[in-house]
Amino acid sequence: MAQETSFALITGCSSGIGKELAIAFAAKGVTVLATARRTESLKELTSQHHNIEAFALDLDDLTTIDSLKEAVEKRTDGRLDYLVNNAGTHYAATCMDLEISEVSKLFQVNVFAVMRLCQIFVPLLRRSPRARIVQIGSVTRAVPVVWQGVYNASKAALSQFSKTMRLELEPFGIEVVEVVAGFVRSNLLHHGLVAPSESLYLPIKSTVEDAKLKGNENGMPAEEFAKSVVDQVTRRRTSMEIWQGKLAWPLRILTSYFPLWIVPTVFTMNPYKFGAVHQTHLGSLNEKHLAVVKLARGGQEKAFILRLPTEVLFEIFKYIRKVGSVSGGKYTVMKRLALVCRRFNDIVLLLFYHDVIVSVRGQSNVSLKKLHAVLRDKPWIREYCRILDLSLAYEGPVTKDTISMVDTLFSYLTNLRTLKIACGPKQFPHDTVEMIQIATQHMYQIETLIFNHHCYTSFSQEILKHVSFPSLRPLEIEGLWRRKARFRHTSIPEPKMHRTGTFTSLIVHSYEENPEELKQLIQWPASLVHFQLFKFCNQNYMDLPILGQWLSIHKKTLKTMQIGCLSKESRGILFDLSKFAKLEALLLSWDQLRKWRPQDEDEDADEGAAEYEDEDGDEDEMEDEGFEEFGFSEEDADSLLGPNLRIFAVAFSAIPRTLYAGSTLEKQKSTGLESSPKPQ
Amino acid sequence: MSSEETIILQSSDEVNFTVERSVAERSMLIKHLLEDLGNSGEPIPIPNVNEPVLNKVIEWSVHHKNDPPSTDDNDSENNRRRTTDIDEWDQKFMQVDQEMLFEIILAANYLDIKPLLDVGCKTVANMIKGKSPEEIRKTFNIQNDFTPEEEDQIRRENEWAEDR
Repeated sequence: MAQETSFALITGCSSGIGKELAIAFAAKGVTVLATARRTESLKELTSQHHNIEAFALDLDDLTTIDSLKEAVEKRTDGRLDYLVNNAGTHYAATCMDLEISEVSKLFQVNVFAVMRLCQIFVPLLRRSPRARIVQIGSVTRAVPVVWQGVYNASKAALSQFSKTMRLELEPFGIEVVEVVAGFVRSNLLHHGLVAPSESLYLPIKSTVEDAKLKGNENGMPAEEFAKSVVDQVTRRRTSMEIWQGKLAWPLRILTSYFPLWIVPTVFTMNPYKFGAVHQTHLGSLNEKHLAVVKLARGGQEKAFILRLPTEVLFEIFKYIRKVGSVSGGKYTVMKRLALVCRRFNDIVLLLFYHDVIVSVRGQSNVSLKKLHAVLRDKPWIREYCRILDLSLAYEGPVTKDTISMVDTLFSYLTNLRTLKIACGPKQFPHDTVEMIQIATQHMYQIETLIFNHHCYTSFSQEILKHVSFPSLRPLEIEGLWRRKARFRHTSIPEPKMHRTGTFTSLIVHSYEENPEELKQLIQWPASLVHFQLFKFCNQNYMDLPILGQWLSIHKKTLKTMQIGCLSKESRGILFDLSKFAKLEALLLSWDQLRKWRPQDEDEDADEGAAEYEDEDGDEDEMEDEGFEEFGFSEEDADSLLGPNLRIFAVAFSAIPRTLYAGSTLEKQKSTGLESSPKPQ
Repeated sequence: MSSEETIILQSSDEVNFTVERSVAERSMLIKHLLEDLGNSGEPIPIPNVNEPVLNKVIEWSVHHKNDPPSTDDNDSENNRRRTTDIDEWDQKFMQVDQEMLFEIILAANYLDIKPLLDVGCKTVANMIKGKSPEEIRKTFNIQNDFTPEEEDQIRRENEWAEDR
């Protein structure tokens, strides 16, 4: 039952849908406040329906909304039950031919005015026991009907605005209903299609015009549309979206289930190649909507693969890249894919630029130059980049030219998550420092930072102290080699850095700085969860107890620890990890575990044998160079294996490079490591 | 155990299939639907999967009904799933014409059957790998919609990327 005293304000009532909506609301006993630019155009309505009243509103002029509010307030005593934003305008031009001034006009009426109307009438709506804002939207919010991109964009904007407003108004008891209109007969198209004399699309203008007008003729009559909408809107409970009009229902299914690229493919072809038939996907509005979609596929109808949605093709391409990267040519396979067709190329781009691996070899920075040029000319590609692996000159100093190109590159790649910088022997720290400074300015989202320096590079906290990325998790450092003779700076612990680092994983490979610097590195992060030390290549003495002591400040957070060989003299000296309460996985090097004291006869061999019986065979082979047979006592086991340890693994060869902080050790079983369950 | 319970699935061309609930629930879409709405015994319409395709999908689901639930990892870290190895039964299952192959993939995507989608994607990946652009086009009936200039431009733009 409609209430006798309800008020509905409907915009754009002089003709078409608005007029029919006014009549339909009035028929339900709702008092309709109908607006139009000129109230004379409402005469027919007001004279034939006692409960339709005319109000002037010019949506081109936002100030008239204020005066309308006053008039409505006066008439309804400050309340309103329905605000129906129907008024809208159309602009039939292709994206290439549109004029921005026309676009502004359209958005003014279809979007901005609606925003203002909602804003201004909400206080009145709040006084209604059951207020509803009804937005007349369109299926084109999601269906890219050609030659009306601006209109489609305005309806998409309106839709998103309505969805947001629905949430924001819910607490005040105001419901927002979006009517997703299909094809309804209207005079929206009365201006015809716009195509300037130089338009690329002139050859098909008349065909499209024809199709659109025919579509209009075949649309649902406005009266039928309005009745049905009002029926649903005035119900006690209604849905948030009402799909109405010819093809609205099939399109709802199509837009939810079918990839919308089908329609866009029409325009990716040469305009002179496509025939009229492609334009009819929404034009021939009979029941053949599926057949119509098929036609829109153009010449590719037998290319079943192109029916797949982008996300599925993307997955397939990822597999192909994976295969490519195994066989050593992931760029090669992607380059081939890119050349197949446009659609493939579009998808490949996402993958191609996701990981950017680029090297400068010697004086040749051709690759870098080419990459730089693409990113300069196609700015939208920049955001695809997540990983940058930059290798700079293995030989000779980096040229100024290269450095400045790297700087620009860094400033482009603001979306980067992983940055790997490999520098050659001749690079001086200040180049790296400069690069890091630029990176910190632009790449806020860096999570993984990998330094990889090839031999004899002086490198240390000089660089590290510039590392400041808010989301950094792993920090990986490979090849910190001290060029002892040249750089004799004493590495006094930086008290400022102590426990300030935000990263939680530390991976150190081939570390050649002195032990004191390693200590600082370990104690730099506020809390460490994963720690890996591949190998300690230093001449200095280093053993597990020392390392354990340094790591002990992280004993409450450390989850995984992987430690390779330390000093030769410290073999067999174990450490106490019983206080590392969170430690779940521990990997140690076989060589580090074994005692290296040939004169010491195997006193505790029996105890250890049981734990490693599987390895008996291997052990025999390794019985060389004065290693004693492996074994450790129960006390050793108790102190070595922390209270929550789940995985204890031993590396028989060098710790594989693929090991990564954060991964559990289980994954590495197949890579030459053996793990055994924790002994009781 | 719900092994007794059956679900009726209706293809787009209105053919009904009666399957065990565990089979139907290989589809996350249907699983969630059943969890939210319960099983009314009414046929569940699968509006964009036709009878032959739905038949294939069900055949797959029956064979894989006892598979451990996929550890719902959307992370790409999982290396094992990233290889293009396909289990022998699945390989045979996927020996169908291209239209059917892609219909199965579309259905798996729509019905949200991740492992079937994976098998489909791997199958297609295997068909593509090692082929030249022209061979790929031939295999899949794809028209080359590039002009020679565009092709050149893509080649040029991609030149920076070198496999080390």
